[in-house]
Amino acid sequence: MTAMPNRFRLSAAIALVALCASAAVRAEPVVGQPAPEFAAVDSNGQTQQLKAYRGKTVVLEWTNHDCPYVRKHYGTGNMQALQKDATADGIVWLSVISSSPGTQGYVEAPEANALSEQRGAAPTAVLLDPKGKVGRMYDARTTPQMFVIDPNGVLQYMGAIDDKPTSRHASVEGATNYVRIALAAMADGRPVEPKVTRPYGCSVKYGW
Amino acid sequence: MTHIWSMWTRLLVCLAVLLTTLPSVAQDARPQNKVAVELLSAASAVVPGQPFLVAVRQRIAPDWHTYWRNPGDSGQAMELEWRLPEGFSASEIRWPVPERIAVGPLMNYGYADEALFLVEITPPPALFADSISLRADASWLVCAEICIPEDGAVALELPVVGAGGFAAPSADSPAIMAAREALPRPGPWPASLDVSADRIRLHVAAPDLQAASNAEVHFLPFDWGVIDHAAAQPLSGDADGLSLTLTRGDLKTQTLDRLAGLLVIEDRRDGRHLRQAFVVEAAAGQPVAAALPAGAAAPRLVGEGASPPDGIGFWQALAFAVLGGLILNLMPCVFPVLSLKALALVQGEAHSHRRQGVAYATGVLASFALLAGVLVVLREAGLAAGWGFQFQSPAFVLGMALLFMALGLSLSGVFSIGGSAIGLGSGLAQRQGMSGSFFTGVLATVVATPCTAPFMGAALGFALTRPAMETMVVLLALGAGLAAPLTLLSFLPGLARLLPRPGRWMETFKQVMAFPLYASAGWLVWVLSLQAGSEGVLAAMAGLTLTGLAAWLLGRTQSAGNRLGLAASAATLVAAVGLSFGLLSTAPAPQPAAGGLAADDGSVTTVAYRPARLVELQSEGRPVFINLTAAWCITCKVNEQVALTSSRVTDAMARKGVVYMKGDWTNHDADITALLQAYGRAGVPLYLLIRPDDAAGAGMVLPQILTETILIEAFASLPEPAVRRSAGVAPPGRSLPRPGET
Repeated sequence: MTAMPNRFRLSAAIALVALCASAAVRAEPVVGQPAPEFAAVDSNGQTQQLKAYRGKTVVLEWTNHDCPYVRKHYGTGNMQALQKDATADGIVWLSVISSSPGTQGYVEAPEANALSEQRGAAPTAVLLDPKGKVGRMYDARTTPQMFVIDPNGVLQYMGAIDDKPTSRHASVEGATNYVRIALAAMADGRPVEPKVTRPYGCSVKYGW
Repeated sequence: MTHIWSMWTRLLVCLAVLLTTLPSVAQDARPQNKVAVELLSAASAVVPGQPFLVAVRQRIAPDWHTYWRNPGDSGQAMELEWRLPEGFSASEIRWPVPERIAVGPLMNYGYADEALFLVEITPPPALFADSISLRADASWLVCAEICIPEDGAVALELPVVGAGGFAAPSADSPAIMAAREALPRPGPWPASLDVSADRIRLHVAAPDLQAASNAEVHFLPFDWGVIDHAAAQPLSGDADGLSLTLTRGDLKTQTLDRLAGLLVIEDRRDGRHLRQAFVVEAAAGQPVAAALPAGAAAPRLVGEGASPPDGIGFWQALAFAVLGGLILNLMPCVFPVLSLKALALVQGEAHSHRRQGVAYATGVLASFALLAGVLVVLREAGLAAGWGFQFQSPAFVLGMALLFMALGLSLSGVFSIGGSAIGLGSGLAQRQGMSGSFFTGVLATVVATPCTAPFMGAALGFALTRPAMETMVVLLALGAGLAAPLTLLSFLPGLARLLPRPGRWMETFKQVMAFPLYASAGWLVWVLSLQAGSEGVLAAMAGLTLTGLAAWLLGRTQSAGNRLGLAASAATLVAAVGLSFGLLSTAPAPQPAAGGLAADDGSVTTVAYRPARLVELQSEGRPVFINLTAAWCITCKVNEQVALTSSRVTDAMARKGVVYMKGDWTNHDADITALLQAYGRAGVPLYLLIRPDDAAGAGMVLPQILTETILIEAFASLPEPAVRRSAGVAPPGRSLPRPGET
């Protein structure tokens, strides 16, 4: 009885170290390579997996509803319009919330759905990623940050939503929207250009 | 009646409170900016056609930060939109050196507290107004856990003087000039790149920098996507210099042929933080530049790099401390006390065990905290008195060797420490209940402390060289190790069955533990031999022998109770310390390298720093440039590379007949300490230009971060050699005889 607690403690310690180590490792998505496979629960309790959408274009949108840069896109209706246009074309749009509990942007499922309704957002699903697993898999650093994955599961674009790295609402007018460009190029069978841009926004609020 | 009055009074008070708070509520409804910006000018007036520096000063709320030109993984740098009068132009922002700010797994580059962003304004060649107004709209992102985009307008009115006129520096000029001096400059070292699919190896040809093992070196790129900002940048050294291994960033699929950014070198020794940053531009595939001029490699000083790495690492010390604490339980001065207590625990009731165990642990930890506090106070007092608790200091190493010897002798049984203390405390410890356990904890500490386990010696030595917080943590870890077994027993009394009986084995164990202490003393004598040569070894041997004698005398006194013996042993100990330190001070300090000016072709006289020689040179009318440096001071090494290897600098020195005096403080030479104190400095680097008519302590002090320009300007301010009055002046190109030469 006295020996077992020690062994248990030791293995628990090892497991803890391994968990921390794995959490600290960041994966690296590379344009032109297969996008990392993930599985996450959405705001309706369904498990969403990337591979389930093989054969369709998938857009991943990292978001945090309180971040001023995200508010720019939602406040002007820019993001909602983009979502509606994309989903109308059969593209799968997944919004991802990687804020950890207690940080800015963290929401539970009911609130996430309420936010989508209030803002008139039209994603296919909102993924709840409070442990930051999907975020770290994609090395998501800012909100907003966009990834476009083609029907073969290959990453075609990652980076900013547009070329105006400011939170001023007026900047949406006349901005070059990289996601629209990528989707249009893919639809035409042309190569996507640009493939990688600097994402701008608030930092993703990972836990420790 | 009274009731109504009090009701009205209450109502009035409520109203009054409401009225006074309402305005402030309205004010608070508009959140205050986290950053206050203002525009400062270095010049008090505008001279047409003459560019001048202005600065946008950000004052940032505590815990918040703004961003550099490359903000890192997230964030946004400040943008300035100038609204300038006709004909005026503004340069790009000259960004100050940022800090690396980690946010979870992400890395940003930015600023906290206060930052000055310099911009050069160029007025047109002709101005017809009496005064002009400079305005800018600034927008920036300021973040803590959340981010807030903010903006502010800054403006500054300046009078205009006539063309060719003079504008005095403004009150803000010193701050702006200091900020300009602190801007990163091009690095003196050739840099090259080795690019692979995932990594970039940035190689900086700086052979002199490897001796400084405590430096942190990082590369901050100007552009996004080139490197992974958060990834570690392992530093490695080779004969040629330093290499940083950088992980490639988001743009890694694109070919990389050029890398530009800041190389930031930070020196955090002894609680100070010196930071130097250089602009590094490297092209891929460029071969490392040809070897530096002959003689550039500074000869290794005796003792340079020979000190043990600054104590053991913190985590190792922590581990040692816990282990040491655990071992202390087995020492004969601790174990009997504990086993008695353990027996009492087993016989008592279950729930009071746990509380008693906790009380015991509290007693131990409180005592160790007190001990740590005392040590810290002593150390601060010692530091204030000018002692350096450094392994670089031969006196410290000698002291530690003598201490370890004495402790080893006590464990071997030659004499005993703290024998009387056990009796003192046992009365308190025998009290029942929680206070009894608390005092047992205190007692265990008191008898354990002198009965040091070998591990504790290293932890103590380490603790003396580290800042207060680390000392506290390490000593508490020791206490935790000491308290752990009995506390564990109190929670699991069944374990008491596993406890060995006190017996002769304890004494044998204690005597065996003396040998690691002797070995440590021996190793310290070896270190001393590197620092102070064979004289140092002699000093150590004399000290150790006399310490042995003192210990033996003390041991005899303790067994015989002889007063005279006590005095004799004390006297012997004093003699031990006095003789050994005396011998040590006669050990010649290692001669500093005769060179040090890497580009020296013999045109500049170079001598080691000696106060008498300085006075001599001054009386001969020679100006003297003094470089106070040390092998472990990376800032010094970088400065030597940046400023003192330049042939332009040696030419300027030769032209003015400047004598180069190098003071090597690696082993804390007393003359150099005195010179440092004369200029109010606690440490190196210190650069002085002493003119022939300068009084003591009145020389020109040059900045701690040197550049060629600073030196050349300083030498340019000296009079030409022909003007000097005294004879014995060597014409430039011929050096005076070196000390010791005829």
